[in-house]
Amino acid sequence: MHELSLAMSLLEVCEEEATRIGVKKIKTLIVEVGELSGVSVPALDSAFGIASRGTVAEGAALSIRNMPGTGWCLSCERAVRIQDPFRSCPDCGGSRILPTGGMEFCLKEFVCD
Amino acid sequence: MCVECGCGSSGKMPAKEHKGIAFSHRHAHGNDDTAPSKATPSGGTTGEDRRFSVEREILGRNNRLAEDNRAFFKEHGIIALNILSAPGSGKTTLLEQTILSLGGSLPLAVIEGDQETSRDADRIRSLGVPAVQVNTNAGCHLDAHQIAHSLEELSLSPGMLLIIENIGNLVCPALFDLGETSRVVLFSVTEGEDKPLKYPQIFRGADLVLLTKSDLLPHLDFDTAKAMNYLRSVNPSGEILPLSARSGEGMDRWVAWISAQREGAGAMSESPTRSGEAHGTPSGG
Ligand SMILES: Nc1nc2c(ncn2[C@@H]2O[C@H](COP(=O)(O)OP(=O)(O)O)[C@@H](O)[C@H]2O)c(=O)[nH]1
Ligand SMILES: [Mg+2]
Ligand SMILES: [Zn+2]
Ligand SMILES: [Zn+2]
Repeated sequence: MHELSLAMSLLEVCEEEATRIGVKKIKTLIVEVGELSGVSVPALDSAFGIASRGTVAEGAALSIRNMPGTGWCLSCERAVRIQDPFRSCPDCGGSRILPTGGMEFCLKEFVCD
Repeated sequence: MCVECGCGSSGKMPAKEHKGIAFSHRHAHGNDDTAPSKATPSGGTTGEDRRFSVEREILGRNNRLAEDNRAFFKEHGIIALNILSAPGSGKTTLLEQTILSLGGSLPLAVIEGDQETSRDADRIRSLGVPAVQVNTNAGCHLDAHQIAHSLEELSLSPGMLLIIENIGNLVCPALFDLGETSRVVLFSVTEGEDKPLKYPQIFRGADLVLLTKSDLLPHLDFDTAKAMNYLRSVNPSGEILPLSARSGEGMDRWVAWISAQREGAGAMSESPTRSGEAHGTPSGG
């Protein structure tokens, strides 16, 4: 359920940026969500629907770009693909992995009328 | 406006008057010069639609506020411990026993996080230690912003020990840096050996893992060696300490660990931040 506070932080950034550029209404948010970020997209989507009421982004659509999880296996000494932060190395099965990509939760763009 | 506390968009909130040192939460949201804001038209107008490039990390706001808290702790030699665990692993009981063990030997304050009620803060206050209760309602973790506001309410003094009891939850609190000096995760022997494998993120970030309720071991088939191995596999460098708040086993080592943290506080000014570590790129080899 931390998606509610994440949605609120997202909306706060929207309000800041919209005020700065003089936009009254946001139609679509383009958000990058990494596979390893711990953010649940369905939970974020419903939290955003509730939290956005009365804000500049009320009724806006969330357009999600899923970013793949990548890591560095300290045993194999090479980059590996990881699906979630709990997974072990697909090659050696070890768990000494440093996440290197897929942690993002980033507002990339918004679209207005 | 601050959507979490609704405390206005002025960007400044006067710090309360204290006898000791006062924390001023400078509201790094709203009109914040340090926030890289760069909404710019990004072309590609389809019909009447206008696109704007924003490029802002959302968790960045929590991290900025956490860095403010961390800088404040460092400046005043305050050791802040973020205590995390599943509900019922013994956080509040440990806090009570810790307060009794320390016996007033060092200045202490507590921030209690719970979804509802002030029961835990009341338990701490009844021992004569100042405590602030944060109720998160639907929220499942404490964040740096709530800590900043709690610091404004507490009477703080240099070199003090600040203990933060996070919401009982093994998932979300791991994501939110509070600016703490160290993270302590409690793992009770009633939870099963494989907890670290099921919730590796929270165990990976721990500076110290306390294996709590060790007095119950004779009554359980909990395999301590197995649990230690699982812990090591997700967190090779953190310390592990078996402890019982009931029997007192391990309390002396826990208190010694706290003292070591306080002694190390002066020398820690160069340590990298948690977020910096988490996003660090391995430098090959
Ligand atoms: N046997 C035993 N029980 C404990 C110990 N520490 C806490 N408990 C019990 O575990 C329950 C939850 O403890 P509490 O401190 O409220 O957990 P919290 O939710 O993590 O704050 C209570 O019934 C405590 O009495 C311990 O060291 N040994
Ligand atoms: Mg408690
Ligand atoms: Zn490997
Ligand atoms: Zn605020």
